[in-house]
Amino acid sequence: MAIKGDLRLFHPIEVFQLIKSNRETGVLLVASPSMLVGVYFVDGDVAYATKAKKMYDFFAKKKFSIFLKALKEKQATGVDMEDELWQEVIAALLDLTLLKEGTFSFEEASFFLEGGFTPVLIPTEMLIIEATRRLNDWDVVGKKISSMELIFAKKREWGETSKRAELIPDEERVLEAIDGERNVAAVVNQTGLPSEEVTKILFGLLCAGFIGRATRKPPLKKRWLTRGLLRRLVDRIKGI
Amino acid sequence: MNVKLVITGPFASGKTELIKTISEIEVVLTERKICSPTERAVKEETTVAMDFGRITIDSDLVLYLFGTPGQDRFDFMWEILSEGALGTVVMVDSTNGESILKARRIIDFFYTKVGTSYVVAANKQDLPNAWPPEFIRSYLDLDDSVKVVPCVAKEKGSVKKVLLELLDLVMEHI
Repeated sequence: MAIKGDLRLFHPIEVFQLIKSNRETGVLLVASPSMLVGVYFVDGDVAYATKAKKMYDFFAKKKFSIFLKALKEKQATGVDMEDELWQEVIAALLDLTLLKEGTFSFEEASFFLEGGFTPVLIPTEMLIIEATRRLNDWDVVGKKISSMELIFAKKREWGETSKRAELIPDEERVLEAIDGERNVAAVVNQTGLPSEEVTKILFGLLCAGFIGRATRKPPLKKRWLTRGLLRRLVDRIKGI
Repeated sequence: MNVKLVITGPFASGKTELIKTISEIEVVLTERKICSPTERAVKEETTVAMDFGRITIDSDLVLYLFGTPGQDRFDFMWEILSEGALGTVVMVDSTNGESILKARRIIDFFYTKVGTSYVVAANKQDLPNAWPPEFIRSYLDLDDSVKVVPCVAKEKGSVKKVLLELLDLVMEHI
């Protein structure tokens, strides 16, 4: 699947969330006035990232092939990869998470995979949590945590997720307070942490897939609303 | 007996179009010329109070469709129009990032303030740059109980599918 968007509307962390939650394999290209960044994903996790001068470079396999070769050697011999290669990936990812303007596009692709070798390096959950710690733009947090009345619940797979992104004690406290009943205001009270800190942590946990919105209680039953009445509505609409 | 569904969503997400497509009467519109240059670049007129359509079910049952205004400044209308509604369709323009972003605020409002069932209609899925419904679901952080229905508001079959999904959901809740 493919998407395009504007970084003024969607923060890079939110873009990572989209790719991770849909377990996409492909290339995310980001063009900002200051740089071009490409991030290669396999099943939603980061396989490689690099900065380039021209868009064409992202589709030329040369750089990625060098990286892949080093990665295979590392797996075969246990010898660490050259620092330079590793630092390039980290620098591209960290610079990307600081971008506030530019455009992004994600396209499904697998041209960079060779012979079934899956070069997953960085769980995207870890990247999201780390980038959220560095986030200081409250407008971004406020888009997702827009009300103190929102209620979150741990996702079924939160245990697995926590193996992929190590949380610090404050994040653990917030996660522990999420029970599908407490709203954001109650989580602030429960943890004793400042509300800005709690909302930022919730933003990260939400994007990383530890938590989701709690399922809303079903609406109150209306006395006049019966299955028979609904069936009449359904039959009529089907017949239009 | 009269029952109503509410069609809400951000500016220019296709609410009026959806009602026009399915209503048996000429839709009652409260459109006015747009003054804001940025909004006028998208369309000439916008709903300021509500749109109103009707589907007669049989001799003693009528379904009304109420469309809300899309701009934030009319948000007080969301709650007023939702009073007593059977359910709500939240329309999103899948080709427009700002629409997807603003739909989030509306959904948060419905999540916390309005006790009706709702589905999200990912509109304009016929256009090449539309975000797939799965991405819209992820961005909006919807819980599993909320359906995101692909939609083309100008096509009757598509609108019927959205309304039927909503009624299915209402059925689950009784």
